[in-house]
Amino acid sequence: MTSLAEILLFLALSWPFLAGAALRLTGVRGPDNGMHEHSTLRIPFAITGLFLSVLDLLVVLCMAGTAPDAVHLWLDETLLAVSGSVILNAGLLTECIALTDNKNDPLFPAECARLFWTTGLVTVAIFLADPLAKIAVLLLASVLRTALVDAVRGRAAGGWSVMRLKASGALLVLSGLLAPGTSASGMLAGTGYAVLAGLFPATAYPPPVDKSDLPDMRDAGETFRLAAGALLLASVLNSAPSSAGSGATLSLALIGFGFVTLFITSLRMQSVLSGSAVRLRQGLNVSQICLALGAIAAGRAQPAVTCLALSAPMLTVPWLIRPEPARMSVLAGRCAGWALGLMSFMTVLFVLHDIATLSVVLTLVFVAILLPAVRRGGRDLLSSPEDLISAFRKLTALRGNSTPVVKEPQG
Amino acid sequence: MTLALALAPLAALLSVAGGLTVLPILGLLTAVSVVTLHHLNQDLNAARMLFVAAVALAISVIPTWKLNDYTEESRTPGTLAALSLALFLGFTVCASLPAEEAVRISSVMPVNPSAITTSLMIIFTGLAALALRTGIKYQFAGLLTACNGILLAAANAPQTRAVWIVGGSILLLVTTCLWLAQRLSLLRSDSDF
Repeated sequence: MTSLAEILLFLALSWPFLAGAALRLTGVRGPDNGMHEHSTLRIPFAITGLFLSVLDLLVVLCMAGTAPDAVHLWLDETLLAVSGSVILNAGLLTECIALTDNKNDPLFPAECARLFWTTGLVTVAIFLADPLAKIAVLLLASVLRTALVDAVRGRAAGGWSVMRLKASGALLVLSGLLAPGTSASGMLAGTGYAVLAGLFPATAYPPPVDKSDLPDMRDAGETFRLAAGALLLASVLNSAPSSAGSGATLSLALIGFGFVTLFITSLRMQSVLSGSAVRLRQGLNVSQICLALGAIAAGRAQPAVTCLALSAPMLTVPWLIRPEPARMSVLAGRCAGWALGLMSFMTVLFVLHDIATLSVVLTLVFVAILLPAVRRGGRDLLSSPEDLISAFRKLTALRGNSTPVVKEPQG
Repeated sequence: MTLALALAPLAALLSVAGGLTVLPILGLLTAVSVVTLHHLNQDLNAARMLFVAAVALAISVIPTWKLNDYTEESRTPGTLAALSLALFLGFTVCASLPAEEAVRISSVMPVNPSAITTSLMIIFTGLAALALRTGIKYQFAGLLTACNGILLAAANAPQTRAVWIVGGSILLLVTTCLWLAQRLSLLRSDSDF
């Protein structure tokens, strides 16, 4: 059983790199229709990665009775790490599906491979045992993303701003981990993780100004996965701190930055005007709120709530980013809005339940901060059920008699 | 506390104002401090100290040499804000984290306790320049300053693996940022003419 678990872990960790390399090598540009050969391969590869990580989770759950934490040479296979890898792989699969039928703006082979590589690096970072090696691999993922995304002409300024943010966060975490002074070390590491996860001093997403900014949002899923990886690392570090004092200040820093981010994002949600991209903007705001909730849960040493908070935006943000001309994506956007709103509301309830045991004043502050955000988000994200049903009917009606319509341009 | 260790925060503060031109001095001071740390404590591995010193020299000298030809164009320098933030953070470090207290509290024994405060001051100075200066060459100088501080802290840390991991990731980071800085500086000189 132990050897099986080790083989599974090795396969699950090395699969994204193999899949990315295969996509990069087989990615041949089609003759004239702009389609790529590998676009059919992306989804099976992502499904395989998700399947491997789910198997790994099952094996770890089965072995939880006999051996609680299987510690290998370099890797530390905890339940939190395995569920984090499942969430990351599910996000990768969602992004692959959501970006598939984007025919007028085809993906390059390196772009498809990049998604797999960065996700694989974040997964490896979650599994590594040494905190320094974790943060180094997470930094490597950011470097790889910048080197592959911003190699295009005219994108160096954006790459530099991303690198500036990630480098300052990673250097703060490194200085916190390297300085053995107890209280300062936890505070520095918490600040660094907050910067890496896109909490208060930085934001995870640049706010989209108008519709023309939307092509830049194609990296938003990957940005979110890197931020979520930083939060998972903070959660792992907080659940097993190196010393008692640094653990206390680390959780204090995470909870503090989470509250400030909640306040600012709740204010920002009030000022979003209703327009064409309102769903996307509120979706990004809500996923920012989910990151802040995940940070609070990580500070309270509740890894399950952190995973729940991260899984909602991870599964729905790629659907919201999609350009909306197709009818199928209208329905997908509506469903994603519902799923994001309900799952994040569930996370709010869990965090509220956890905070209520801590102090009454903090609970009141939390409710006061989040009530306007819940009202606004519910109005903008959750379209009415009749709207959803009519979109679905339109789609099925189109499916029913659409065969001549689809065949017409071919003939 | 050696003379090189004492002068390193001063060089870091100068690099906030002076940019990349001061950086070779800081790299030299960091390398000398790391090597003298090794002299003060004989049971350390010599190879890791030499590796750290070589990385510190490389990340300080090579970017200065490579970016020497490009011009810097920034309207609002922001030197005063960055300098005051760096001084404030350095004062906070000195006031709140005395080296003796850190040694007394911590379970793991660092190589040289006075290097903790110094390395934190260098890191904060660099991060203040990275956050508040405008113009990519000054921001890059701030990033390199912070990397020097991290290298000093890594050489000071008791874990043996820390040096190799931190040194490797810093080399990678600086290479990518140097590539971006060269492209951005080229763009700027193109737009000027």
